Amino acid sequence: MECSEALDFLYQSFDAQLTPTQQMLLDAHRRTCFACANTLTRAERFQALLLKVPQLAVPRGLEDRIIERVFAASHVTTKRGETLRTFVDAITNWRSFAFAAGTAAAVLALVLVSRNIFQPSAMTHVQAPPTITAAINGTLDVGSGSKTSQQSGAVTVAPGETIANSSEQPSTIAVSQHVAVTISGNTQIQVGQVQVDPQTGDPNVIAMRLVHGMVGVRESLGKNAGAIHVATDQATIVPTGTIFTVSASAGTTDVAVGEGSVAVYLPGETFGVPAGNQARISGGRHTISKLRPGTKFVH
Amino acid sequence: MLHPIRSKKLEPVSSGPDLALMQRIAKGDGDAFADLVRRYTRMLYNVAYRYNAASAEDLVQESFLRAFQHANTFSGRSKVSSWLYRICVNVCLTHMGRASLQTTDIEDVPESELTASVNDLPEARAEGRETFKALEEGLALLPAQERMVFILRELQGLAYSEISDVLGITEQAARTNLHRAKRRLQSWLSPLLLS
Repeated sequence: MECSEALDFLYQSFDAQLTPTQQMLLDAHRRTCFACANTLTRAERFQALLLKVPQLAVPRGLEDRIIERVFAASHVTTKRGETLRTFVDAITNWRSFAFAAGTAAAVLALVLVSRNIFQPSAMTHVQAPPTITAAINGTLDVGSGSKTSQQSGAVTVAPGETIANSSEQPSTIAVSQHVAVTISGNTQIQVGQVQVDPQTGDPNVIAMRLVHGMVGVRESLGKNAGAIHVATDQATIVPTGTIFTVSASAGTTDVAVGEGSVAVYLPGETFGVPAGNQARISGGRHTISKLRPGTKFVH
Repeated sequence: MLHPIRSKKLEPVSSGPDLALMQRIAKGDGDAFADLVRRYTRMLYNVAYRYNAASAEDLVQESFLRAFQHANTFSGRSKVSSWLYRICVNVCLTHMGRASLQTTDIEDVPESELTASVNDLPEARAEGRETFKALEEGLALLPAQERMVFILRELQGLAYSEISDVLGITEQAARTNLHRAKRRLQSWLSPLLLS
């Protein structure tokens, strides 16, 4: 055996690839070649070292970060997602709302906006048909100022009007055949921008300010359906074919996801909330946790 | 002296459940994807870290993103683990090319420098942390394909047939690459292997 073959034979022996004859040749060479004996000894020590190399533990939170990033990216990398995000980015900066409304013309978006993002003055910049026709399952107080009345069934809603549920039982308002919003008891929202498709009369954009309380949103995707955006002063939530709730209180937004998943856009950050999880956004930071078993969704 | 190859594969797979899992992911099932992430993150992280420790997290995230986006292309003809390994390998190699990292081929390193300094690693003889660090340093100097073959075979415990499938090379080529990698690493670590 040549010295150059010895090491290859040894490596093959590690894989149990040597024939008995080859093993005998290797052993014989080792006994007679001092240089190779040292090399082979180091090779064996090296092989033994490899067996001790530990498997690395996964950094804390990496799995969650992967899920969040992949989910968020899966939205923004689609054609539809890019369109929606453009809208979201623009609507978060309400000075650009007129532009956002234009870019969102092909998108059915329901925007629930909590405190102080939509100022009444901003609404005057947008040319839009003033009303939409919705259907209420249950009873809701609809109107403006002192002209508020209890409504059920078909109802016309105009910008500036409020929709309130002063009872303990939730009621649902369907704003299109694909989008329904369930308004929990003791919750009030204010209708902001309303824009409809001039060809079909279907709503493209409905902006609402979540004054207080909690709403549940059900979005069922259809051929002509768009997505729902739920924006608060902390975050914008973009779901796809999902059921979720969002609630707003001073400085805090809570999002709970029952089905599907949602992408949440914060300034400079995007993360996902898969079904069975909830997120709390406060002070520019967020935490994600599992939903408690038995959590019910108002939809 | 025979050294049986210890399997370090973290997730033995069976094709049936995995195929069903991938089909659910292809339909956009977030729970299924989360399950996939939980099962295979450690496996991919170990590959990515050994390949490029500084970018390991990004490489794993990118691998899972591609897996999610292309879940509908998983045919079930290979194990999910092999499919994920293949994605991860491609991501690692692509990342290396895109980043234009200033890497040094171990063949370009002068012979006099091709050993880890025992003085620099005073406690390495005990095969402690420094020894493994020296191994990682040597690994980083290997040519990309040799490095990946070494990682998959020696650190992840894949069979040559699976390495062949993952890297798209013959089994013989995988063996050749492995032997070259081991010769170089053994030379690199020589001072630590003498005692």
